[in-house]
Amino acid sequence: MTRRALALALIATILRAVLHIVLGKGGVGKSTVAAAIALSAAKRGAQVLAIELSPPAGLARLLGVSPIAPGQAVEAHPGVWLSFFDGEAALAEYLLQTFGLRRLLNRVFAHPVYRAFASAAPGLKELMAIGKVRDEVRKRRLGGPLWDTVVVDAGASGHALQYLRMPQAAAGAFGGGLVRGQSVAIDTMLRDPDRTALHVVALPEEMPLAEAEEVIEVLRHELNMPVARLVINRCREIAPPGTRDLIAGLNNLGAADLDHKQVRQALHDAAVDALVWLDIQERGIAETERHVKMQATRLPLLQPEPFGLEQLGQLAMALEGN
Amino acid sequence: MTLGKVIDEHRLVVCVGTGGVGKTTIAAAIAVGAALRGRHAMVLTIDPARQLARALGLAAFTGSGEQVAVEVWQDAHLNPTGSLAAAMLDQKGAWDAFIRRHAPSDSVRDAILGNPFYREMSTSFAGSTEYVAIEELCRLDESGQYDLIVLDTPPAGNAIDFLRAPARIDRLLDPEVANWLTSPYATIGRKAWRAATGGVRFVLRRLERATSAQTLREMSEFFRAFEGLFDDIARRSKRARALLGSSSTAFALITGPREDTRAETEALVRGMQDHGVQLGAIVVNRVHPFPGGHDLINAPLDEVLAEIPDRDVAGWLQRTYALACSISRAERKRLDTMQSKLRPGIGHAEIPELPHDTHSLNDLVVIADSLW
Repeated sequence: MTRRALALALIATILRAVLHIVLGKGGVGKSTVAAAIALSAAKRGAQVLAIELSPPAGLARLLGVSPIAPGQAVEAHPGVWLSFFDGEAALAEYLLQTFGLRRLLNRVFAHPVYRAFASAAPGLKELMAIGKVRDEVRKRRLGGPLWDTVVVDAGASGHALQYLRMPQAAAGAFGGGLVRGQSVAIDTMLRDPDRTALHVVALPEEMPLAEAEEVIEVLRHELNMPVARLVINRCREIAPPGTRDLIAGLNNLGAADLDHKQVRQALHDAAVDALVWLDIQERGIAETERHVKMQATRLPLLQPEPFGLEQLGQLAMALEGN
Repeated sequence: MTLGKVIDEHRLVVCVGTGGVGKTTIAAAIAVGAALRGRHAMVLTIDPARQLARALGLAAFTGSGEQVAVEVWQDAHLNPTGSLAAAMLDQKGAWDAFIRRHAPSDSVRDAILGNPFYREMSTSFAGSTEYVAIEELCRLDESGQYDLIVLDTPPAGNAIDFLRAPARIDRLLDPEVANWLTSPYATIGRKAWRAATGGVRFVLRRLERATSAQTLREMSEFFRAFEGLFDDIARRSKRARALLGSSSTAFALITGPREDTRAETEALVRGMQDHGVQLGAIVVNRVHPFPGGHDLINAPLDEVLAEIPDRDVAGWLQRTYALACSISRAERKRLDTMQSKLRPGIGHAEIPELPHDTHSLNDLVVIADSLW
């Protein structure tokens, strides 16, 4: 197979996973990537649930809808639904399911000792939230799963790793009991590359790339979770050969009137700036690809406005290898 | 008003903001700028990058703080009239030190330090980092060594957490909670409290059984050991609130020019208002100025592009320039709207994006100079 055919085959494997978890440093465009994955799956006819593990934020803005209560799914586009999970609400829901007794429990939830317990019990809230994600993956309707694809915007890497780490930690910390059994099941799902694809997002700049490498290192060696792909968002267009020389001589070309000079200066500045960033981008990506031993998927830097369905569609195409 | 003026007029600058906007770099630049202008500055960071330590000539950040050496300034051809120290918040270490300072006896100290609930609380309880950052701030302030302290706050998804931290810790360490946990059958007063008590015990026990954890027992052991420290905690908490609310403290919001940070920034400003905190300044980091300095309207762009002999290069240049302009235009519009909403008297600064991460002291000076 050619290199490109190999890459496409790899992408096809990734896209077959039911659960897609997107993580990366703050501000790198995790939500954008999550939204693009959701829309591309829906385009192929899948019923997709996109989930934010926080109060409605980036995904809600990009998809233009905002669920009101945790766990509620709102249809954003044909085939794409949005929901958000909150650890504390998930814990409360778990207790309600286990005990019933809503009126009593509502008083309990307001009690300071319960609140202290819920905050302090190691990772209990994160565990409940990721458990809810598994519930969604397992939901059935007549003749098949309710969702063909579930995409999770797991938030900034530190917190996202916390969600992924919890099931393993809980399986170890809780000697027996109900939670241990569920923790093991969640962890097994997260580690299974046929069911779960982890997407680590970065920008083509030093610090975000370094952080992505660290995250991949933790995922692979501490959590034993395979990384499906490294996505580099906002990549600049490579300059054609000869650009540098042309830019250097740009100010000596053509008419000498003020208007033309001004334009040439502006073009020159834009080009010089872009070339500096391109150097950082190409050096950084090559180095990171070498360190993590995988090829990155590049997404183009797009105009900031308007940023909507059309732009998400362009990114989805890039994710599919087109 | 310039940001520099706001800094000149305050002893304490708290940098808040969402993640990924370069908050730590700006906090460091504020301290560098102040040191060059005669202040004895300390920057307390939460999670500094190695590059920042290198830029300040430090082998590493420590919990106790390091002075930036004279040679480091000299190597950068700078001659500060003040001084600069930098420290990193060592969350676990700071909590342990706090317990050591306040524990009434060695046995109480050891009981707390060895308690699993304490260990969990000191590392991952929501608000724990924030609380200990405020506590360190109080200590630095009381040391009298610095006349300006710049605090970088944790890269929380929601920076309001920082303001909520003292209240959260107060709630957790509420003597009433302690009472309930340590003396199970005592009458605790208020009717509503009592009504829920039986239910709480029932639910927590069941939850414990489900998780087969011993959190409840650990909590009550922790609170029993902690009893002697409650007055100290309450006093520190009050002091922290007084310091954060004092007129010599300014809150600086660090944000970015992108659309995705706008919503978070607005939520943060509203949250600060709700907590009665006055915003002292806004710094917009990594702004993209127009190439050439202006948005050229009706300029002979096509003519100039037509003069370029290589069509591939001309095409790349045209797309690159158009993209840069559209980014600048979108940012300008957003920042102008934001600025028009600011109340007068708020410090404001825009920092153009540097085409690399902060590598040297001079990079920080360049940023500082655009603040003053």
